[in-house]
Amino acid sequence: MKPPLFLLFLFTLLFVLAGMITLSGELIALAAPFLVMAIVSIMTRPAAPRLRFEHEVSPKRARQNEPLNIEVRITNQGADIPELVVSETIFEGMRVLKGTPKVLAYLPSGDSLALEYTLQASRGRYNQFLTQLALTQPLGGFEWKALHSDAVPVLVYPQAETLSPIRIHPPQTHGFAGSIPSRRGGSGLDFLTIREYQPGDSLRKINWKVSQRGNQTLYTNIFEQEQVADVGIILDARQHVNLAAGQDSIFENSVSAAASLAELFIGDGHRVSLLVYGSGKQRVFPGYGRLQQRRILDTVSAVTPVLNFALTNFDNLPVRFFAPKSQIILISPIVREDIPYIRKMVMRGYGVMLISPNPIKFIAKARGDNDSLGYRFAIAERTFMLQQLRQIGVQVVDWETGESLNSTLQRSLHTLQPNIRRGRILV
Amino acid sequence: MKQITFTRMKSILLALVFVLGALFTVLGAFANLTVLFIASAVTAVLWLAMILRGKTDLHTVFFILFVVLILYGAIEGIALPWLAVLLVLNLAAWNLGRFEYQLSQFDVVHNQRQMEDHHLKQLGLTLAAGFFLAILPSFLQLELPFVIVIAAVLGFVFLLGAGMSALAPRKEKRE
Repeated sequence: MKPPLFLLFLFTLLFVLAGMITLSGELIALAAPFLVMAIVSIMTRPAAPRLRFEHEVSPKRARQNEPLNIEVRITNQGADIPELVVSETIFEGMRVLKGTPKVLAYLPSGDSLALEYTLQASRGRYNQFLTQLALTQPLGGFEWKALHSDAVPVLVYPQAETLSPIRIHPPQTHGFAGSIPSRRGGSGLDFLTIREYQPGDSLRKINWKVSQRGNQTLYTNIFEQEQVADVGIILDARQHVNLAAGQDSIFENSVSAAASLAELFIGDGHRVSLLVYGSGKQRVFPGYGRLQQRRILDTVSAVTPVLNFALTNFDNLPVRFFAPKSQIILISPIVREDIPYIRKMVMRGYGVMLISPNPIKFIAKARGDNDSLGYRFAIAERTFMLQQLRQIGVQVVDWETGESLNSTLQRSLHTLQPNIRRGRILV
Repeated sequence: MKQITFTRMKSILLALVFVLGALFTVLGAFANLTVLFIASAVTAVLWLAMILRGKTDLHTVFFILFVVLILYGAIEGIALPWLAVLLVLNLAAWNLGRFEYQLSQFDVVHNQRQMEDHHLKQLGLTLAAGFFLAILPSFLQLELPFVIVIAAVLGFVFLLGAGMSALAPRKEKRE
């Protein structure tokens, strides 16, 4: 019962009692319109309708902030509905760009109602669409409400930046042609060495300059073969290291970085795997190609940083998940306690690159404090910590999250120590 | 300055409130009821201004004010048919005010014309029935013993109370 009906009953009672008190039949008679309205309201109270819902979402996978077109079609398979309120639930992180997600309708039997709107959603997995239904009646005494859910999974991928090719140094490569110099002779572009001519060598590869100098022996140019490598991306989803300030968070930047790097390495033909460490251990097994890229993006679209007491440090990092002597890209803000575990990875023979969103600059920027003593101490401590990692052979990229990842990578990898070689640990 | 748009429902509502206010004022003037005259005029003007201003939902407040004025008019001896007309107009204005407010909350209304027609039809029929039921006693003359009248009225009041409590939303018991 809604307030209008209550008011009608109240006035009926009031007029009847006033009539009795004042001994006025007119007052009692005036209660009739209230009473009739209340009775008609009760008699015509709305019942559960028979509706058929169809939700169409396109595209089903979209980038963050890419428009999602939603079409809801509701068909009335029961009796006429005089006043139907349809309202789509807009989840947190969604924003309506065009159209309206709610409509008031008079829906005769067999008639259909189409609701079209365009959304923009932040990264995430949206498993269902919720539609709030309310049937009201002209006299306003009752309302029938229900919530309808349609399982239409939509994945919103993180924003990924197009990255320029970056140099990685995996200790071992695969046999297939790729983009990583393998230090083996073969069909590459970069010169590696020369050797004596052997029957079958292409005449175009003979090094005539060197051959002229010697004792009538021909020499052949050997080029360095470029091969594909195994690349494992570790996304740090531990809550206590992923700071947030308002709408922005370090984790969102890390997720974008993981997506961008996965796209880059898969595009280069590498075999890429993913491990999300923090909430649990979500993993995407190594694979190649577009399907693998989709698997990785599907996984990173739904991850959130969660506090898991069993995974507060990298002690339980399942390093064996990655192929031996492969390249590991660790995306983490990193804390001091993580250094021994990263050292262990390097000692096991993995090539490790750390892409570390700078949490100190992130928080300092949010608070507008970049000059205090505390800030300077924190920066000094972090610089020291990253230096320790560089000394054990880790390629370190200190990423200020406000800057583009591409430019940071290009700048940082350009200035990396040139003496780092595969499998060599410089302590 | 905000432009006022006149939809079909708003026009009907304005007409209803205007007729209600004018009728009340005239009746107050004819019956020499200064309080009724002034109060009804002020209430009607305020209600009209609120409708013209747009999206506000104070229709229930004005409805209650007019009901109080009708009650006052009945006590002061205004004739039953006029009171019934005023009451029906007041109920119609209240209901259409809420309906107009509901419509204004939506950018898209599917089959708006049919919805309005259905609403007006149901409201019109209900209020017509209520009006005739209200003025019916003025055509009837019954002589009933006082005890029976009291018993009937008390029975009616009891029935009304029971109906209201039965329709009230119940809180679910926690196990």
